[in-house]
Formats: sequence, C-alpha cells, structure tokens
Amino acid sequence: METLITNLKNQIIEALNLEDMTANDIDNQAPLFGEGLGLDSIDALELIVLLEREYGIKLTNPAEGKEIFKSIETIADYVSKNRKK
Amino acid sequence: MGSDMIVKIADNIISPLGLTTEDNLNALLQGNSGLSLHEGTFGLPEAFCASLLDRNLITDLFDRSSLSLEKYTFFEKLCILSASQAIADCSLQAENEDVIFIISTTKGNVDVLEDSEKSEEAFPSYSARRIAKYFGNNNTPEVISNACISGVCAQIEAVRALLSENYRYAVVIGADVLSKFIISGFQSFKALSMEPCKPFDNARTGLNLGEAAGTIILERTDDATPESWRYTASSNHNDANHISGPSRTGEGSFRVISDLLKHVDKAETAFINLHGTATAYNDEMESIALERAGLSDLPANGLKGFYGHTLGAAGIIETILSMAATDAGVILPTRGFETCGTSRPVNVDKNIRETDKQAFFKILSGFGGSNAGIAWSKGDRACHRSNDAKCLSNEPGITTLAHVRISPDATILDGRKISDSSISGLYREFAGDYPKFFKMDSLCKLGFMGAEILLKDIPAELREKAAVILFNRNSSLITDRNYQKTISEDNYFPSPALFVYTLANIVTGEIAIRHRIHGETAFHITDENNAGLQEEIAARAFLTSSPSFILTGWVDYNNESDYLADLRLITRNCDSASILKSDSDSNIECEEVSPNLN
Repeated sequence: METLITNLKNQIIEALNLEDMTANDIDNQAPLFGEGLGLDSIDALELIVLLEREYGIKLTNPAEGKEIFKSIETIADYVSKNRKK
Repeated sequence: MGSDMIVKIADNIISPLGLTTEDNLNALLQGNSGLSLHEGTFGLPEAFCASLLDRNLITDLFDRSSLSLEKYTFFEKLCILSASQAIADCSLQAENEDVIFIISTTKGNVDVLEDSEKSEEAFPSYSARRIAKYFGNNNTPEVISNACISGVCAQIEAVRALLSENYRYAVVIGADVLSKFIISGFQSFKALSMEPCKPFDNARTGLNLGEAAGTIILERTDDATPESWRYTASSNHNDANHISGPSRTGEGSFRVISDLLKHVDKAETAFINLHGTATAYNDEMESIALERAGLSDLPANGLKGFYGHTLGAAGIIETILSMAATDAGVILPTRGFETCGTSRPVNVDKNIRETDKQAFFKILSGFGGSNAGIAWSKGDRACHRSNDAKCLSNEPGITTLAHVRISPDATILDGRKISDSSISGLYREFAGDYPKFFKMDSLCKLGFMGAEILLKDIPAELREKAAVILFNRNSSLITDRNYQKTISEDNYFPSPALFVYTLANIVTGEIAIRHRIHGETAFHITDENNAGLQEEIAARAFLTSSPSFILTGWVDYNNESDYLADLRLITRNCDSASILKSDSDSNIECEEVSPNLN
C-alpha cells in the first residue's frame, strides 16, 4: 500500500502539473479538492484519465469520482480493490 | 459619425439539414434533426451522437462549382461554398476594397495535425487568407477564435469594422468541421450525450457536436428599409470565474442580456435564442441569468437538438435561423425539450409558436468564461453606438497607458528592462501567489505574466470594466500538438487538462479570472504581428461598448526560445487622465535600455 500511495502521489504531481511539490508534501488524509491541494473540476477529469492509463480502471460517470478522489487514501483504497493492471 | 445603419443583405446555411437557409428552416419546421449515433467514425474508439455533413456531397458540389486550381481543405471548401451562395444572392463584388472577410472558427483545419507535414494549413489565418483570395479579396481577413461564442463575436466585429467606416460590406463566415481531435476532447470532458440532446429538459444528459457553415453578409447603409434586419445592440462580458465551467450565478450572461435590454424593450422582443447546449451546468446557468434579467417569461428557444453544437458556426447559423423564423412569423421549437429541468423557469417549448414581433436576442456562452449577445430588429430602431465613439473621432483618439514586451531575451516595461528571466522566473519575480499558474499551458503563462506586469497597479474598479482583446498567429498550436499525442492510436488517453487549452481564447479567460475582469474578452488570429492593425481593431471596441481600458496586443508561443508577448493598455484620450493618475505609483524596479529593444 505504501508503494501504491507514493506512486499515486508522483503520478498526480506529474499529471496535474503541481510544480514545486513532492510526494512528501501531500498528506494522505487531506482533502484534494476545494481546500488542501485546491484541485478543480478539470483536475478531477484528469484523475479519471490517470486511473485508466495507469491502472486500467474505467470510470464512465464523473460523479463516481467525487467519493473516490476525496483524498490520497481513498484513491489508493479504490485502486487497490479495482485495478486491472 | 453619420446615421448609418448596419443591415443584413444576404445569408446562407450549409448543414446536414440543407444547403440553403430556406431548406434549413423548412427542415426545422418539419421537426427534422441531423443528429444520429456514429460508431467507428474518425477512428474513435467510442461511439458518439453528432450531426455530420456528407463530405462527398460537399466535395462534389465544390468541385463542380469551383474554377480554382488550388487544393483546398474540407474546411475551406465548406466556407467557400457557403460564402459563394450568399455573395451570389446579393450580387456582391467581393473583390472590392470595401469588403472585409471575417471568419469565425474554433479549430479550423486542426485535423491536419494528424499529418505533421501539413502544419501550415493548421493556421486559421492561412485558411482565412485562402478563402478571401478565392473571392479575389486582398484585404487581410480577420479570424475570431473565441470558443463557443465566436459566431456572435464575429458579427460584433463585422459591425465595428463597418462602423469604423473602413469598409462598407462584411462577409462573416462561421464554420467548424469535426475530427478525432475535437470529439475525443469533448468525450474526455464527459460532456457528450449518446442520444440526441435535450436542452433545458429534466432528463438532459449532455451536448452533441455538429458540423455546419453559415454566412451572413452585412452592409453599412443610410438607406435601410423597415423590412431589413438591422443590427441593434451587442455585448460581451466575461464571467471571471472558471476557464471551462459556467458561472453558477450566470454573471457574464446576465450582464450581456442586461446590456441588450437597454436598447430593445422586452415587450418588443419576439424571443431570446439561447446557447442551450443541454449540459447540466450551461442550461442551469442560462436559466439563472434569464431570471436575474427579468426574462424568465420571455419566449426562448435553443436549436442544438437539430444541429448539435456547431462551435464556430453556431452563433452565425442560429442568428440566421432566428431571422428566417421571425420573417415567417414563428418562434422555432426547442427539439428534445419536454419538462423543465432547470432550477429557474425558462419559457422554451417543444412546439412551434407564432409571433408578430420584429426583434430577437441571440446569446452564447463558452470556454474561457466568455459570454456574448447581439440584438437584431426590423422597423425603425436605431443602431446602438457607444457614446464613447465620439472620443475616437478626434485624432488621435487613443492613448497607450503602458507597454510590456516579454521575449526570451528580456522583459521590457515602457522602454525599460525590468528582467531577463524566463516566463516561470517572471512569475516568481512579479506574482508568486497564484499556484494555478503552473497548470496553464505556455501561451496562457506568457499572456498571464504580461497582464500581471501591466495591471499590477490598476485599481480593481477600473479592471472590472476593462476589455482583453488579444492576437497571435499560432493560436494554441503547441498545446494542440501535445493534445494530439494523447490521442494516438497506440496510446489513446485524451487529456482534458490539455484539451481545454487547445482554445487560444483561454488566455483571455485566465487573465479575466486573475484580475476580476468582467468586460469583453476576445481572441483574434492573424498571420502577421502588426501592432498598428491590432490597436486599430481593438480600439473599434469603443464604437459599440465602453470598456475602462483595453489590454491588447500580441501573445504568441512557439517554444522556450521563441515567444513574444507585446501587450499594451490603451484607452480613449478622454479617459486616460483618471487611469494615468492611478497608475503613477508603479513600484516595479527597472533599468534603462536602448530604444531598439522596445
């Protein structure tokens, strides 16, 4: 799980262009949207692409993302249960 | 300034529903739609519902009618065919010096990026010149690329070009053709409906895309008859809220409608033709804007259920159809609508309604937070001119308040070198408090930093009413290429974060958001960096609107050793004193440089 979390953080930093951030700067439990990293709706769509590209997970309804993308921990949990690659 | 009117003298629509305006109107009156499901088209892995042109039919028509030996792209053929019909209808001598061509398109020939050797054709200004040349016209054509609102902006630009008295006729062509590039991008935004769209309906599931071309020819005349469609008023306002999501309060759209209502009474207006894309957010936003403007009960309609969203053509063809329907005494139905699905009421109907009124509003909203509207009417209504137009009649009517030039060599403010940093270095020196900067593409970063340096000391109340009118040659070519890489056959993961930046006008939206600018935002594409021409075009905004000042100029990005932002703040002479006063305490440190760097 630790490796998955670190990989996810690095993939998110790269996909969302979070320049000047490192994996250590992102708290596992902190909210990703609104406060915390301050991500927005386009970032949520980009995270959907990331899940498909890196883990073979296809989310067809963007509304599903709302729960999954709450924090790094919730993403890691969802990926570990649903990953196809 | 005389008492000239701007009137519509000819039009044409080419769409899957017909090759003339009359055919299109009849198809709509019969309830026909061009929308259907397409599987495997353009090599897309996912099916999509869209309204697509028969390319063989259009190509055959073009080949039979064209005497030119030039090879034209499908986009160019479509524009030429549509314009040819309208030009023939009014017997316009299109080669004359008093005729200007104005093209409205979001992506022009973007599909040629799949073939890297043809990159020149990807420049919309290159296409525009070829289209104007086809008709023997040697004036530099204008290209308006302002996302979904381009078609209304192109009409406003035409009105201003005619009011400036530089031209007597404007041929305004709106067109876009669909491709893997455009459809995959909207799919990555999860914005597309797999069935024909349902504007304002309770069960709406998103938008459809469509292909069409429309041409509207305008004339400046002092001899308009009551039967002529005359330009009456126009408006353009940015939400200053988000680059892809509509404002939750309908701010920009509300301001646009409020401006139009200053010149045409609600009681005299037959209907308002809405954007009505059938996405959850757009339709909800429009319902809020209508309620705020007191127009919830005014008959309204949306035509995307017939054509899908035809992008750069939408503002043109929806205006032409609104004129043709009013001429026939009807309000066109909103195909796909059954039960109101917005939080505020909107007076749309799935059935045809009758009207004897002679005026309508056409509004649009789009990416970049942009919103625009235009009012057309028949009868004896005057054409609205801004009071500020008077300022322009005293030469020279325009003052430059500040000028910044950012290139890889140096950043120069009002003739003084202030930095030799890269764009990101400039961010650290002059901004540093806006992490969203890092998510922008290079074109936006460049424009953002130019604005940052110029607007630093301008008070918020002046910025709020400012206009941002920018120009370049490459449009969003670098990001277009990067996005293209995400849709290759062997690695197909279309990136929404890249796709949104494949619209060049997003840079105007980023600047508007940062500086809370609610005035006009517009993006023009042209093949040469001519500062005089840019200033002339931008200053025409004062003919129909009253911005506090205009941020205008060139912003073009090719690569990290080839970019240029050459931006100015301009205003009317009569306004400059108040702005200069507030701008006088600039605290940017600088050093003198030789004049040739400026």
